[in-house]
Amino acid sequence: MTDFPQYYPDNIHIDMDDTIFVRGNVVSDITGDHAVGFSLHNIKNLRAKNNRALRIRSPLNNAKGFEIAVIEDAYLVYNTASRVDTGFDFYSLDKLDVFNMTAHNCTSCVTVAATGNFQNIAFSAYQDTPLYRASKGFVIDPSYSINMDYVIHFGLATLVDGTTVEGDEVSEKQILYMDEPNDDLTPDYISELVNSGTENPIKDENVDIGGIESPVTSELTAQRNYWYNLIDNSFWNIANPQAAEVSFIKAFQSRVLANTEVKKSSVMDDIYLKTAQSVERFSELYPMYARYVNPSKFKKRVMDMWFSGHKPAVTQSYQNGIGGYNLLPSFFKRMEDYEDGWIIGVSYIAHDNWLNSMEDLKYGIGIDVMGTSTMNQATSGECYNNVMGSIADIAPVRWFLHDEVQPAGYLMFTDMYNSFEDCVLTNMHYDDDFNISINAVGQDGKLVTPLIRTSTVMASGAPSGFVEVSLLDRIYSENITRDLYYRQGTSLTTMPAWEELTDYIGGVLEVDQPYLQFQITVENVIREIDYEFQGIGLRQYSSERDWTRPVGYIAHYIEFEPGAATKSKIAPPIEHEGLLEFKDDGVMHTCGWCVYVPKAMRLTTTKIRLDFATSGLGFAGITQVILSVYLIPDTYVIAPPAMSGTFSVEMYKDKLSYIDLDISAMDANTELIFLTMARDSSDPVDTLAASLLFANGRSING
Amino acid sequence: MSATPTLWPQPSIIIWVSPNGSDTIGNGTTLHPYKTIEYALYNFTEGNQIRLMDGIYTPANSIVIDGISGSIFAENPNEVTIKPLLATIDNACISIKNVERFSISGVNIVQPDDSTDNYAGVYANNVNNLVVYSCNVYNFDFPLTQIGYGIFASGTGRIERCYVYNVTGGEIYGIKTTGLDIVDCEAAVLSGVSVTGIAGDNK
Repeated sequence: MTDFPQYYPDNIHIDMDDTIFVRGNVVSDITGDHAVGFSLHNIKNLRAKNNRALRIRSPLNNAKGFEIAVIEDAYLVYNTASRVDTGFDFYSLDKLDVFNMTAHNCTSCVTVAATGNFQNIAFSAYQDTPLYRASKGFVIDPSYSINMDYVIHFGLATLVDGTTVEGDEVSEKQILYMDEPNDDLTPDYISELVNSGTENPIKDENVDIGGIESPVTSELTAQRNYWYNLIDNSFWNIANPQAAEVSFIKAFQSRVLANTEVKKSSVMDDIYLKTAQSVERFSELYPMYARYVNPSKFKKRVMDMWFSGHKPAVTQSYQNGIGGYNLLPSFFKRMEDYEDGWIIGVSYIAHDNWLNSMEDLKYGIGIDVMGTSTMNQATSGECYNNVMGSIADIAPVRWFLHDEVQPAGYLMFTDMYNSFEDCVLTNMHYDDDFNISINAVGQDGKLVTPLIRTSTVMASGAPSGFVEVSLLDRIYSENITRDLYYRQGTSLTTMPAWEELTDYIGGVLEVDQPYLQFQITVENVIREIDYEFQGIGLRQYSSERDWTRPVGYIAHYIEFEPGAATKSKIAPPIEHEGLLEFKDDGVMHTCGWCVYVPKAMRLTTTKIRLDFATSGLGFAGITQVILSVYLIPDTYVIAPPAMSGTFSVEMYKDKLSYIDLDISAMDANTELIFLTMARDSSDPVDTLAASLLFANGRSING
Repeated sequence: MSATPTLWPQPSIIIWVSPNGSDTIGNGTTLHPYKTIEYALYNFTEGNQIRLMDGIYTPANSIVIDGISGSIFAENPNEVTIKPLLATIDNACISIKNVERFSISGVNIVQPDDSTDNYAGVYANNVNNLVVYSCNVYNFDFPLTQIGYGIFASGTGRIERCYVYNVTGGEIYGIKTTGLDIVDCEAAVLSGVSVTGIAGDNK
C-alpha cells in the first residue's frame, strides 16, 4: 500500500504575484510543421529552471526548443535545448536573465528580440552533423543588445549575429564535454573516449577562462598554502582521475555560478544566494568548464574559492566536490543500485585522506545507502575502502534531492519549491567572480522568508493548529551562530514582533493566524557561502513524537583532538543538529542528533545495523560510548509504540564500528530515529574519541 | 487570535473503488469497495477522496468532477488505468471544473477506443489549487480539426511528474496550463501539424 502525501507541499502558495514556475520538465521527440518544446508566454514572472527540449523537429525547419515571449520578468536557469532548429527564442520581454543555458546542435542556438543578460552559456555543434554545421550562437534582433559573459562554444559558424556587450568568451578546440556518457547531449565519439578512458577531454590543458588571477584579498584567515598543497598532492594523482575531476569540477562550476549570480545583482547585498542550489543543478548540465583548466590553474582556482582557515569549510567544500549535495557525483552509488536498500540519514563522504591520515585513500565517495548485503571489502570494495576513512554528516531530510515522494505530512519550504528565492541575506558579497569582500565581518545577517499562507499549512490534531518546525541549513564555519524566529499575523502590515523558536529542530509551533513568516538571523558569517539556508520543514505535530532531550544536552559542537581528551574545542559541524559532546569532567555527558528517514526508506525490517566511524582517536585507538536509540513511529499514519534501548559500542580508529539492533513493533511507517550518545563511564579518559564521522543504518535482515 | 485557519483537510471520507468491487453490495470501504468510479462519484461529497485500487476502469463516459473539492488517488501509483468507453463530456476523459481544490494522482489515462469528440486526456477549468500528480496520459489520436491536449488546466496549482506521450493530431499540446506551475513533467513522442510539448501562461 502506498501512502500518498495527503498534504502535498505543492499545495502551498506563498504570496507572489503571478509567478509561473516551470521546472524540471523534459520535452522530446516532437514532430510537426510547427513544433515547439516549451511555449511560455503571457506571463508576468516566469521562473524556468532545469528544463530540457530534445529532438524537436519540423520539416519546415522552424522547430523551437523554447519559445519565451511576452513576459515581464523572465529568469531562466539550467535550461537545455538539443537538436532543434532554434534552441531558444526570446522576444517581447521586459526583463530577461538567463544563466547556464546550453544549446547543442541547433541551427540557431538563441534568437533574441529583447534586452537581456546571458551568463554561463554554452553552445556546440557537432562536426559530424551536417544539418547544424552552419550553426549560429546568438542571433540578435538589430533593435536590441544583450549582455553576455562566460560564453563557451564549439563548432559554431558564428557566435554572435548582432550586438552584444561581451564578457569572457571562449572558443573551444573540441566538442564540449558532457559528463553524462551516452546521454542525448553527449556526442557519441566523446562518449566513447570517456568510456574507454583512452582520452579524457577534461584533462586537456587550455586557457584559463576565469582570467582572474588575483587572490582572495579580504579573507581574514591564513595558511592558504596548506590547502594549496593539499590539493596539489592528492588531487591530480588519484586512482580515478576522471571521476574525481568531474566531481571536483562540478563544485568548482557551482562556485562560479554562485559568484556570477551574486555579481549580477545591482545591489550586491540584497541577494541571498544559496550555493547548494548551484551544486544541485548547475553541475548536471554544465560541466564543460573542466576543459579549461590544467592542474595548476584548477587548484589555484579551487583554492581561491574554497579557501578557508577552518577544517569544516574545507571539508565541506570537498563534500560539495564529490557531489555531497546533489548526491550524484559521477561515481556515485545511487540508491537505485541497491534493491531493498534503505538509509538512515545521508552520508557525505569527503576527499579527506589528509583528514583521516588514510594514506591509501585517494578520494572519497558518497554512500547514502547500504543495501541488504553487508558492506564489506568483498561486496563493495571501493566503497568500503573509501568509507573507511571518510567523513560524513547526518543530514536532515533531503528527499527532494532524491526525487523521492515527499513523506506524508511534511511541508518543505525551499527556494526551489516555494519562492524562497526572495529571501535576503545581508552582510557579505563578492566583488567579482573570485574575490570576496565582507561588508562587516561579524555583523548580523538576516534571512526573511516570504509570508506563508497558513490556510494550507497543515495543522490538525488536538489541539488544532500545532505544527512541528525544523530548520534545514548548513553552517560551514564554527564561528557562525544563527537563530530562528517566527511571527504570525493577518497581513504583512500587521505582523507582530518576531518570536524566537529556540528548538529549531522539531520545535512545536501553534499556527493560529492567516500568515506565517520565518526569519533566520546569522552572526559571524565571514563569507556568504559559509551559511546555507536550505529550507524550513513543517509537519503536523503529534505529541506521540515528543521526546525528552537527555540531561546535559548542549547545543554546541565539541571536539577532542587525538590524545587530548581534556582539551575541548569546537568541532566540525557534522550537521547543525548533529550534536556530539564528550566532556572530560568525570561525569557522563550525552549528546544527540536526530535523523529523519525519508519515506522511501522507511523501516520494514526487524534488524538494523548502525555503523559508526570516528577519526582521531586517542592513543589506544578505541573508545566506548553508550547509545540510546529511539525509533519513533510515524504516528501520523499509525501508532506502534516507540522503542528505545541503551547499547554500548566500541569505536575503533579508522574502522567502522557497528551495533546491531533487534527492533520490534516497527512497521513501514516508522520514520524517525533519535539517537542519543553518551560516553561510557568505563572508558578511559585518554582514549576519548575526537569526532564521530558518520553514522549509517542498514537493514541486516536476511 | 483570529479565526482558525482554513486547513487543507485530510479526506473526510475515503471512498474505495476496485474493479473487483461491487456497486450493489459494496459500501466504499477497503473491504467492500465500489466497482465503478461513477458510483463512487455518486457518493462523492466535499472533501472526499476516491481511492482507486489497482486495475483498469472503463467508465461509460467521461469522469466529471464539477463543483466538489476532493481528490482521486490511485492506491498504487500508475497501477490504475482509466479508459472510458467514451469521452464526450467536455471532450475529455477526465474533466474537473469549478472546484476550489482538487488533486488527482497516480492514474494512467488512455483514450477510449471510440474517440469521438475526445480532445483531451485531462481537462481542468476554473479549478484552484489543482494538483495533477504522477499521471500518465498516453496513446491519444486527436482529430486534425480540433485542438488536442494531453493535459489542459486553467486555474491555480500545478502539474507535476506527469508524463504525456504518444499523442497525434493536428494542433496538439502535451501539457497546456494557464496559471499553473509545471514541474518535473515530460512530454514525448508528439506529432501533428502544430505541436507544443509544454505550454504555460498566466493571463
